[in-house]
Order: sequence, then structure tokens, then C-alpha cells
Amino acid sequence: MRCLEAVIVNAIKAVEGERTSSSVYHLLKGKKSAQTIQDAHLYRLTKWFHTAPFLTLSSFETMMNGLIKKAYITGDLQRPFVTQEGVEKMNRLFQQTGSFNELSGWHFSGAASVFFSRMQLLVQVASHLAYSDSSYYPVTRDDRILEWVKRYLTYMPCSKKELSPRLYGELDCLFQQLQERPECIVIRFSGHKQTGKTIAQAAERLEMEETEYWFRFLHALHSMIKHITESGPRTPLLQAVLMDIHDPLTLTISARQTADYLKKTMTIDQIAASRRLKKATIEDHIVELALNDPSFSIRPFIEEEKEAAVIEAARRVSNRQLKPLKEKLPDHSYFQIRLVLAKESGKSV
Amino acid sequence: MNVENVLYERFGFAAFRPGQRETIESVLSGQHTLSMLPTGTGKSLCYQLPACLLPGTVLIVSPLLSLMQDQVEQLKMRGEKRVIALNSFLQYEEKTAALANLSRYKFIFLSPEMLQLPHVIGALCPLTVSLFVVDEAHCISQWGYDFRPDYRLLGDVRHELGSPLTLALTATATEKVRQDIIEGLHLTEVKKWVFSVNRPNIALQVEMLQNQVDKHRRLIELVTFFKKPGIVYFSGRKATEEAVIQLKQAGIIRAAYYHGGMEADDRLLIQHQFLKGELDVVCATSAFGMGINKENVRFVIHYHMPPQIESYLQEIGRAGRDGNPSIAVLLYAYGDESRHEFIAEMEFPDDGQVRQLAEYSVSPRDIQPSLSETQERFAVHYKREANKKSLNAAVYMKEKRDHLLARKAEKRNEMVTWILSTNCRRANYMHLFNEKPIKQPHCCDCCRSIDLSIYKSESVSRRSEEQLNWRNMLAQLLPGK
Repeated sequence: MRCLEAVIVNAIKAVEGERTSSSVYHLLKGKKSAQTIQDAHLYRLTKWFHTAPFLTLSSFETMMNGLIKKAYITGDLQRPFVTQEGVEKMNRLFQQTGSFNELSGWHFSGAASVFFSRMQLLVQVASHLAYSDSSYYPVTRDDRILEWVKRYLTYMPCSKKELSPRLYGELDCLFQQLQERPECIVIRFSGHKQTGKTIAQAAERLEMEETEYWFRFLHALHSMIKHITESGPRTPLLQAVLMDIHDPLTLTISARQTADYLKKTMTIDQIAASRRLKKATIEDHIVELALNDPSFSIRPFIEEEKEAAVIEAARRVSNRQLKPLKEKLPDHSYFQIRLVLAKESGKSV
Repeated sequence: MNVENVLYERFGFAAFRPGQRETIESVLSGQHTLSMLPTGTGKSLCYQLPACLLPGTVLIVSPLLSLMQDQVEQLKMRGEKRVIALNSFLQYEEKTAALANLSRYKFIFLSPEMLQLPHVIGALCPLTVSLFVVDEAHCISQWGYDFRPDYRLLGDVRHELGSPLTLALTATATEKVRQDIIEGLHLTEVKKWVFSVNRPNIALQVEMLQNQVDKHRRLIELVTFFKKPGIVYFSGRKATEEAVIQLKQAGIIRAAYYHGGMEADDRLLIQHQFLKGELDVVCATSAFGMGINKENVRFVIHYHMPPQIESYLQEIGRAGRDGNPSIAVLLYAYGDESRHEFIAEMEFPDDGQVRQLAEYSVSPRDIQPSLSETQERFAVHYKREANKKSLNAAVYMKEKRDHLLARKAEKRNEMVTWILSTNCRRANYMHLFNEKPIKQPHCCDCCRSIDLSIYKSESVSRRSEEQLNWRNMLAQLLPGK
């Protein structure tokens, strides 16, 4: 079993009987829809959110069908269930790879790719500065990253001379605490007289199956981000790399705008009208806010008693589908039910 | 200031390569110039050097995004910051910001489709354009290879920009194509500089093999034997990956593949690895090599034949830029050309897609199955042209498509004829460019069998890769004070 297959089996296991396989696809792909975001929280799959952005629907379905053929999964794409054998194979694989404890797709996937590109370029620049080697091609052609590094060099909290040893010091310190092999990251760095490896080359060099390398790489990256955020003053250079990308509230930009309108005490209808969006869209944003922001109050949209009723009903209905809940709560709107469920699962993240 | 001083002071070269001086002096004397320089002789210097001596802006039209990026990067590496590339991949905000500040730039690279946008022309008009460069100018002619319909509109664009001094550059253009370039750009008085397509230091060999198994075996033999680094060209993405696996099994560890299906970052890394000498061989599709300035490539092998002679010359031209002996080997098995028939058809929309475009006016972006970049370019261009001429768009597009497919078939046959011929291969390709044959040593397998030992790798070093240790690697990258 490949690592990506184990990740899929693991996610199918969590949603089996209640969701289709495409919900898992959207999860891994990181679809920013209210449904996918909510599912990620409900089924406690947030760490896998947006961790396989390279998937296409057809490659995903091919993989699913392969898993069904090998009898790791039964049923069909609409209603998949994981077999005992599937669980065993998955466990065996995760024993070998570790369980990616510090992977956190929901919190870090947005920041991780930018963070890595910046770090890669910064290491390259620092390396060439240290060796006084001024002519080289940058590892990225992304103008935003190139502009960023220029600004960084102007405002960084040390001199150009100190950059290399200090960056080494910070990376060394982080890598020692890392719950993943630091080679996964280092092998991708370019610098003076050595060029980084591609993902495929890195996997081959480290003798790993390619998707295993990919998840280990992400795991290492997320772990770095977590430690940088927590250890703050001990890694000032890397913290400055992360500073303006990392946002603890992973919100879609549109939901963030809705939050701004709400602060001006506008109603859902008013916001919808002034943003020329459907009411349902604004409601989706509010559900997203309830999921992510622990301080977000849902009170303007539902009274305390009605909230309690939803919580009570949800406890009795084990299935997390909305329809049976709605049948038990005829006076509630779907929006109100989703909102309460979102707030509740947001608490448990 | 004379051009030699500029060459030395700004570019660090002691001498010009063949054709560069003639082209540069012709441009600096104010003449419209068409210059055909063999691949590997540094065409970009022909506009970069005059730019140092001319007052205004230099516009460069370039057909490929990657080519544009390579040239922008090379300029920036030399310390020239006033460079921008305008293409459809720019974000809206970036594009708006760039257009508002065009006068800041000395070099503006443009794709031909950008020049079709009225607001882009509007932003360019106030500038003093001192030189209008058309790179890969053969794209203007349907007799050339790699015809780009939107290149045909460049003549009108030139007029709109006030008919600035123009330099058309190409590496491979037959007499007919050169004529098309001049007419297409509406140039009247033109100074033509045509240099030989011959690259005397590259020996040519074609080997006939029975089937793919034999070809693979021979490929491994050759790559093992030859002095490195080298490039092997394939006509499919999957084939490049499979070959790398086989080469590695045969002990050639420093091999990598390169094709258009890879992530942009990964492609860039492979380019850098190759440039820095970290790879012995790259197995690639034709996407690899444009704009890569590597001097010491010792061999180019074609595992699959290219679709036309011009591509062949471009690709083998990546060998031996340093002037040292190099070799080009083409492996041919009967029927190899049929791959290209299929590939050629994929470049155009099929009947169903044409119908959606023409009869149901579906927007090119929404056609099912979706159009590739090349297909979309074709569709947009010829639909517009049909409308302008008040012709039935479906009929017109199909006519154009079939016409171009027939042209490609002709070019393909020309290539096969060249492969199967027993006359001097060099004389044969030179003949296509109206050049007289020449006698030279180490010519080709038809003149006299080539002594391959000249190209033999001297050291049979089987490097084993060292142990990975992250701390050593990191310390190597980021040394202390």
C-alpha cells in the first residue's frame, strides 16, 4: 500500500456510511467550500485538509477503484466502507512511516507552500552570500517571492555577513526537535555549488515511495511552522519569514470580508445585498467563522434555547447528516443547525 | 565607444561569435536587419549589445514563455534590472501596474498575443522604441517550422508603433521563409545576414535499428560510452521517464528526465542541475534546451526522430557550443515517424471542437474536451480571421487545419528522406538552406564511418553517491563566519 492510499483509507474509514468518496477527494484537495470545511472538522480530519493538492478527480477515482479491487475497501464510490484488511494494511503502513503527528493541513497548508518557497530562496541567497558567489539563477521565478526576499534582506534583524551562520543556527535548532527526518527538507535546498533535488529525485535518494516522501516532507514543514510559531524569540530569522503569511484563522478571503461587515453590525440580508452575493453564501461564511474563531458569537443568529435543542438532538442522532436532525427540529433552519454544529466542532479542534 | 569595448566591459567577452558583429553593426547603422545565425551562437547578444548604445526602449517579441523567462533571468543576472516580461500569465494587478510604468523599462519582452490587445499597444505608443526585435522570426511563416498564426499580425503592430527600427532573428529559415519574414513584417529596405547552418564541430550519425528493444539497448551503450554531459531527445513524456530508469539500472546514476508535464519548480531545478554539471544526461522532450546556455554539451542523441529538419538542427545545435568535438546520433526504427502524425493532429482542434466554436459560439475556454494552449491559439486566431473576412468559420478553420497538417506531413517526409538518404548528411541539410556542400573531417556516417573513439568518455568513474547527513549538508550550504 502506498502512503497516499493509506491516507485515503484512513479518511474513508472516518466518513464511511455517511459520506461519498468524493468528500474525501475534496478534503485532500483542500476545497474551500462550507461542506468540505465542516466535514473536515466533524470527522476530525483537519490534519489532512489540502495535503494532496496534486490529485485530480480521475487519479483519485483510479486509486479508489484499485483499493476496491484489492478488497481494502468494499461498496462503491458512493458508499465506500473500509474492510478489516484495509485497516490492517493501513496500520502497518503508518507504523512504518509514523503517524504524522504534527501534520496540520487545516492550519498550515495555506502558509506552508509560501513558507517553503521563501525559505528555499533565502537559504540560496544566504549560501551564495557566504561564499561571495554573486552570479546564480534563483530557485524560483515567482516574482512575489523574489520581491519578498529583497525586502527581507533590507529589513532582516542581522547583517548580511551574519545571515548564513545565524540561519544555520536556527535551522539546526529546529531540526533537532523535528519529529521527521530533516533530510526531507535539506535535500531540497539549493545553494553554492549544489542544486536542490526535485520531489521525485528526493524520494529516490531517500529510498522512499514518492507519496511517502511527499507526506513526510509536508509533515516536516508543518512541524517547523508549529515550532517557529511557538518558540518565537529563539528563531527570529525564520519567524520573520513566516510573519506575514501565517494566519491562525484559516479563513477564505471572502469569509473574512463578511466578518468585517458583521463587525459593523450589518444583518445577513444587508451584507448579501451590499456584496451582491446570495444569502446562502453569507450564511456559509458565518458557519466558517463559527468553525474557526473560538471568540465568534453565534448568538445573533440563534437563541440559547434553540442552540441547546440542536446540541441535544445531535447527541441522540449519531449520524451526522443534516436531514434527520432537521426532521427532529422543524422550527430550526438548516443554517441554524449547521451553525450550532460548526460552533460545537470548532470547540473540539 | 566601439562595440568591442562594450562587448568586453558589459558582457565580459573578448571576441564576437560568427555573425554577431555584422548583425550588431547593421542595427547600429540604422538598417532594418534580418539575421540568421546558427543555433548556439548567442542571438540575444545581437539586441542586448545595441541596447547599451541606443537611447530608448527595446521591445522583444518572443513566442514562448519559458524562452522569455530565460532571457529575462539572464539579463537580470548580468545586473540589468530594467527588464519586464508581459505575457498572459501575469496576474491582472501585476499587468496593470506594469503597463502604467512601462517607461521605466529598457527591455520589454512580449508574447505576440499581448500585442493584440489595444490597451497594451496604447501603453507602448508613447514610448520611444529604438529597436523592435522579433525573436524566432521563422514563426511568422507557414513554410517555417513552428508556425504561430499570431506572428502574422506583427507587421500591422509594427505600423501602429510607428515602424521602429527592426531586427528579425532566427536560427533556421530557408530562403522562402526569409522572404515571408520580410513581407510579414512589412519591411522594405532590409539588410540580410545569412550565416551557414553548418556546425562543423558536430559529427552526424544515423543508426537504423529493428525495434524499440534494440533502440533501448543501443541508447544505453551510447550513453555509457560517450563523454558527458549529453541530452537525449524523445517525443513523449513517458518515454523520458522510462529511459531514466533504464539508464540508472545500467549504472548511469546522474540521469534525470525533463518534460512539460512537470511542475515549473521541478523543471527549473533540473535545468540548474544540468547547468551546474550535476547531471550527466538529461532525457527530455523538445521542451528542454531553449534558452539554456551550456557550453560543454558533448552529445545529443535522438531516441525518436524530430518532426522536421529545423527542429533537428536546433536540438543538435545544443551540443558543442564551446567549439570542441561533439556528436549527434539519431536512432531510427521503421515507422518512427507515425508518432508525429498523431502528435501533429493533437495540435489542432478536432471537428467536434471546431463545431462548438464556430456553430454554437462556445467560448474557447469552455470547449469540451478542453483545448490545449496551442489549440486555443489556433482557434482564437482563425475564428477572428474568418469573421473579418465574413467566411464560414467552421469551414475556414478546417481548411486551415488541413492545410497546416499537410505542411507538417511534408516536413516530416523531408526528415525521413534525410534519414534514409545515403548522401552526405551535412550536404543534405545545407542544401535545404541553399548552401553549397563542404568537405570536412568528422562529417557524418555517410561520408566515411565516424571514429567514435574521439567522443569516448575517458574516465569510467562510477560515482557512488555519498551518505546523506542533514547536518553536513546544511553546514556545507550555510557555512559559519
